[in-house]
Amino acid sequence: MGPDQLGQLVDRHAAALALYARQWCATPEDVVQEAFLKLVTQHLGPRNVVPWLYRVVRNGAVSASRSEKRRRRYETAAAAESDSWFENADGAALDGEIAANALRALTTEEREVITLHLWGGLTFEEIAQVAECSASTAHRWYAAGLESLRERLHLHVRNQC
Amino acid sequence: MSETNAELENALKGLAPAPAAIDRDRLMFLAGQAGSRRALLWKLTSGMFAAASLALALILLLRPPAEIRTVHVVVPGPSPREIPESKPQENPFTNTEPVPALTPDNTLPDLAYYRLQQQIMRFGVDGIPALSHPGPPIYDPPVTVDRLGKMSPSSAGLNFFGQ
Repeated sequence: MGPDQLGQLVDRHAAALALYARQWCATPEDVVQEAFLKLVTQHLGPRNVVPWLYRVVRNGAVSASRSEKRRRRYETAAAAESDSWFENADGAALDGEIAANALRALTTEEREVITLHLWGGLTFEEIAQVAECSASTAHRWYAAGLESLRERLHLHVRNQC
Repeated sequence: MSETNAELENALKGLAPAPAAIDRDRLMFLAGQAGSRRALLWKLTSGMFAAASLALALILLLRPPAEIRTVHVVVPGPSPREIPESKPQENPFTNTEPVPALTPDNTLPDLAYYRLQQQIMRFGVDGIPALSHPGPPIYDPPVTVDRLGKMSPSSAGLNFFGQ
């Protein structure tokens, strides 16, 4: 893999990969960087680079989380970090912090599938390979998570009004 | 997918993930290092194989021509002494009983019984030879008072005293 191709991948997917890794560990940037370095050292590149990257990031993030003694404590610490998940853009229909809080309230599976599909751009078949489940299960988690998000964000908007 | 969920999807997609705090230049440098390390490994491996191939080619070219050696090997045949003799046919009537040994006073025992036994074992009961000189018929005269007087009590079979 050439440096140009690697640079394009970093520019295009690093932020979404970090958002994905942030669900498990408190050091998502390290995990994402390790994934890119692992991609460079591959003799034969993976067939689908982007799902492969998400898979490696997932494994690395879970390993980083397991290396801590108290996973719950670090998940809470990661969730409570001040690092925002989204950029606050002026033209966005949703507030980034509110959306991040709504996402944190989801189950791990629902949040993972929504992140992979919406910001990673993966199909449900690719999500099934990454998350080690069937495509129908991934779709079911996605629909349930989206429904839960809709209720939470709608409730929040109603409270704001 | 309902229209409401589609709107929500679009709204969520409009949120851009926060940029990852990755030093891009450092990542590219590390990637180059990792790639060069792998290239070095391949270079070393290919160099080793090239050196091994060269050494084998030199050995093949510089080795002396093969010398033809004729070796005569004499394989000795089996000598007549080593031919095993055929075993004699065993006599089914051979008696396995040991021959009686000498008596304690270093004299030959009475072998009549032994010979008779061997003969019976070999030829059966019919092989017993008939008596060549049958003795005269034993005449036992009736017991009378006079004879009783002449006979001793033991020979007469009488033992009045229980002795």
